[in-house]
Amino acid sequence: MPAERKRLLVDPQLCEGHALCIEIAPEIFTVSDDDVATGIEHPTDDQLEAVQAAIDACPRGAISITDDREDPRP
Amino acid sequence: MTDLADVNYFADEAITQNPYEYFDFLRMQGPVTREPHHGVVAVTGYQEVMAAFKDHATFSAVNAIGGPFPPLPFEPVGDDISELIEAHRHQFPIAEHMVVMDPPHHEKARSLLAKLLTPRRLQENEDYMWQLADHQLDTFLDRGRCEFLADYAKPFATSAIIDLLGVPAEDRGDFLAALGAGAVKHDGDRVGALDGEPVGLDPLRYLDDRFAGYLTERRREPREDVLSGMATAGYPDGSIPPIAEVVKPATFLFAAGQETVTKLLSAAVQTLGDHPEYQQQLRDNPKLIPAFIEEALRMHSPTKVDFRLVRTTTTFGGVELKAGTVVMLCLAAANRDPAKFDDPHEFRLDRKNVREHIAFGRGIHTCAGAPLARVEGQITVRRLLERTRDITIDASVHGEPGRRHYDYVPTFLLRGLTELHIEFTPKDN
Repeated sequence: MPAERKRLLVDPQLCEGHALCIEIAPEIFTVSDDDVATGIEHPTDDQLEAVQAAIDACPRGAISITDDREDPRP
Repeated sequence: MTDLADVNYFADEAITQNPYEYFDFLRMQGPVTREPHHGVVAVTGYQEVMAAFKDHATFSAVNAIGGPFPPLPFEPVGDDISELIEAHRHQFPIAEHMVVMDPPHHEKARSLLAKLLTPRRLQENEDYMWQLADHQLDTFLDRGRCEFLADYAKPFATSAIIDLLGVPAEDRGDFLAALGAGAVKHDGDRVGALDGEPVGLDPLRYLDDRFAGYLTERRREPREDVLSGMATAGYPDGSIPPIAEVVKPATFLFAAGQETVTKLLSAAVQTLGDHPEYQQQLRDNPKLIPAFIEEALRMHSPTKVDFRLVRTTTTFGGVELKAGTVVMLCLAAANRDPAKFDDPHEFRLDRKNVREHIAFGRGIHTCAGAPLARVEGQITVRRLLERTRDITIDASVHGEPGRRHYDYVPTFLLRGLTELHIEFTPKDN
């Protein structure tokens, strides 16, 4: 079975460092010195609710989450 | 009683005093619905407003501020008016400002301002903002009463942005006076007035020369201020913008930050006066102040509506919108959409989704000054609570609890008190 997980993305072109995601989920997001947020690449299932809250609050609509199917077979 | 179906939103003074019942009425007709007087399509559902903000290919921001005023400078023809918009763009009010630009020009203009007002950058100025708040409080605290807008909110909001930008000390008096926070009365509430007069071409044009001077100096010798950040910023393609193109975002920051922040601050303090239970709660636990400010933004969104122009004929929320239709995105209605916020007309400190309000808009045009507005709100509430006891609304002006009377600016665009008289006991330092 291929492992199914989610991939979290913050678009660095869209992000302006408003940092609401960091307020909502400091355990998932950080902001760099050039004011672009980044998130954990593969959030766990119990982090998904907080990720969704950050997506819904992001002023620029910069955060997204996608299915990330990784097939371990060669 | 007025029949809400007949209301002219753009001229009715009573609706400016309480727009929420009307917004609820509109939403009950449908989240996307046409009003009868100007053929403007009002969007009052949260999801629909979000969708329109996101779809900037279909919804042009060219008429963002004026909406139906003045009427379009062209006759829309066909199902795609992109070329007409570009041919007539310069005829729209405040065409030189990024708020009415569309991609790709918008991205270019906005890049000059991006990341200058982030929470991280503002933290470096926080000490100064505290001093500024205290200094303004010092001017009236021992009187035990004040008119909050004139005595605090306006001068504080203006001083905060003046300092942040880096306006030289010797020029500050002029700026305060010109912007209405000093002795001179001004006309800031004309934007969105009910007589259909269009927004001036550029209300702050007279500041352009000043800013051009500051920016030129800073390009030569950068300092540690926002103007220096703007003066030295390049466009994303690496080119250096002419000073004239940097002046516009600088003046716009001024224009956008005065009235709106004043309205947010006064709504927050009005809430403290009308809900005294929050005063002690926030004193005991200042960590709740950010949520308090967010809820004040949701409940009393200073910008009620934002406009868009349909670029290509589309079906939206089940309604066919012809290219050339003026769309009114009702932020204040979306923020009280019961499908998004439970008990939407109740002020609640414990809303889990309060940060999802769209008082600052969303997407590419979202308010670049939002982090500054938030900090100004948080510091104001914090210092006011720390330096007073028993803040009350002055009943001799506004009436007793339960029979309060407040006056709001008579515009279709903005929501805010004209005056807020409060009383309090100053705390001994």
